[in-house]
Amino acid sequence: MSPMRVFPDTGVLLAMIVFPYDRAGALTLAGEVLQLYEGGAFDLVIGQAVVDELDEVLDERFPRHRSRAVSLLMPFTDRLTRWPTPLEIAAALPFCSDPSDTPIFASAVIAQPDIVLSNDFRAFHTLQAKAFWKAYGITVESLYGLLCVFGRRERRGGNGGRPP
Amino acid sequence: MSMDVKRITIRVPPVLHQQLCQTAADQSLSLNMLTVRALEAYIEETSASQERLPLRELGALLSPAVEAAELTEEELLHHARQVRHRIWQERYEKTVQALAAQQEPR
Repeated sequence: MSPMRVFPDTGVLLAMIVFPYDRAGALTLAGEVLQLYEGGAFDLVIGQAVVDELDEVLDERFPRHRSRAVSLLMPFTDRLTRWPTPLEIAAALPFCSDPSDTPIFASAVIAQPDIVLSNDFRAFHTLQAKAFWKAYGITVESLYGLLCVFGRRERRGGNGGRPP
Repeated sequence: MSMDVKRITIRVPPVLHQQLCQTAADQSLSLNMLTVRALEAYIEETSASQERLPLRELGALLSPAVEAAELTEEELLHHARQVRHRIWQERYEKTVQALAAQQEPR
């Protein structure tokens, strides 16, 4: 059976890359998810729209490291899903509390993941957003929620996947 | 010099057998050579798709810079959010809003 396909939002991808441990050296939720990924529990499917954002953040915050970071990702560029068209983005508009999220919503639909992974509860976990994901057969999970999916945490009712 | 090879026997449906024979003939290959090439291509493709993204390597590169800049996770994510707003405004907003307006029922 193929591993589950997970589409990460830029925020969780950054958290997995830069903050797998907290200041005290303890594993964070993002760090636990990274471990699961490295262990082959699921595949990450990444969209060009997410990489664009990552690239801009690197360019502005870490310009000295950008070219090395880009070269690390270069062998994987043919696995990135394409940019969404304006029409595909417009289709996501009624479901987004913030229109700037629509390219990422549309990008996720193109990637056809099982799960969209985002800790942005105000944008990705609203009732409208959940209706959008449901229409495409996609589930939205937070970092904590994804750990529940793999039996690493227990789901608590009514908190939208937030850690208790 | 003797080649180190292993023998395997596989059973295939007649139609696939016919297709393999035809493809081998078209490419002037033996049926054995065609099958070996097909299996090699499959293994290469499968192992490539199982390769993990180099997130640890990216972390090893960026984490010291984040620490040196004393950036918190909240600050970095806030910055990513600002980048998203800017990309929306610069690349998509006008076109997408115009399309959405066209699609609205009159």
